[in-house]
Amino acid sequence: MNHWSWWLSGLGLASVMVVHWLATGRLMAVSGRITALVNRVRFGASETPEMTEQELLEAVRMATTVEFGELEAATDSHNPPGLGPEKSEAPDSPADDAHQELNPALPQMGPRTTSHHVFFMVAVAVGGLLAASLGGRTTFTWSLASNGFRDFAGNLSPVILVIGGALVGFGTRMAGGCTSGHGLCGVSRFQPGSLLATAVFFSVGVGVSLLLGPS
Amino acid sequence: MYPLFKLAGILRTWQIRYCTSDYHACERYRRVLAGRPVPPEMMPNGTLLKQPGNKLRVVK
Repeated sequence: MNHWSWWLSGLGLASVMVVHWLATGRLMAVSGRITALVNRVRFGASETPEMTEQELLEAVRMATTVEFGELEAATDSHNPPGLGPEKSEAPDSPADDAHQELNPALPQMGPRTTSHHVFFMVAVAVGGLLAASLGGRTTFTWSLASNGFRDFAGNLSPVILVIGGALVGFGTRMAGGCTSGHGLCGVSRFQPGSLLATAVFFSVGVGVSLLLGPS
Repeated sequence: MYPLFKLAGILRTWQIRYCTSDYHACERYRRVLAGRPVPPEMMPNGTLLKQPGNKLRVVK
């Protein structure tokens, strides 16, 4: 069985994360997409107000003022961006930032829709199939490649895989994310919870792999 | 929600109040824990962003 080089896989995964962020302005998380889709089925799509960037900015300023009190710049919505009062003494204060325009270099995307989620899921499946094809591993099977697993599961392999998939779903929700959310997004941002979660993911994965034996 | 906050100062203010300080008070966090959907336009205090001119609606 052929596998991609470790360095090529790493570069590919990192590229996917960066491209996803550049294209959508959001961090990539697969399980979050599934959760959002399930919630849309359970509760229906939420009504998201149609707002321009400037209207959105105004709404955020208003909400911030309501929550944290009157801010000089937050209520001064009539000044064009960049033409407001002189900078305040506190350079990092909300009032100071409220005069900055939305960063045009960052993508401005509205909330995701159901079609976005479905497209993403299909793209994940197609991408996985494509990657397997490039590696010469397009054989479909109802079991794992591991001889140890085949010996252990026998004819019950599909059932055990379905149960395992369900358990992965429970674990993902309990951990607040999956290997892409914690392992790629969280670790790259040095989030302590993600570092711990990824350490657990991979240590258990290595242990189970050793237990099941070579493929 | 994250793209709404290109303004770093405002983001930091909300983060200090609701992410690093009293995250149990975050309505978004509470909804996630309860398995309820989180509207993208919901602020951490439960306020839903509305178009200018409309009053902010608070859902708690």
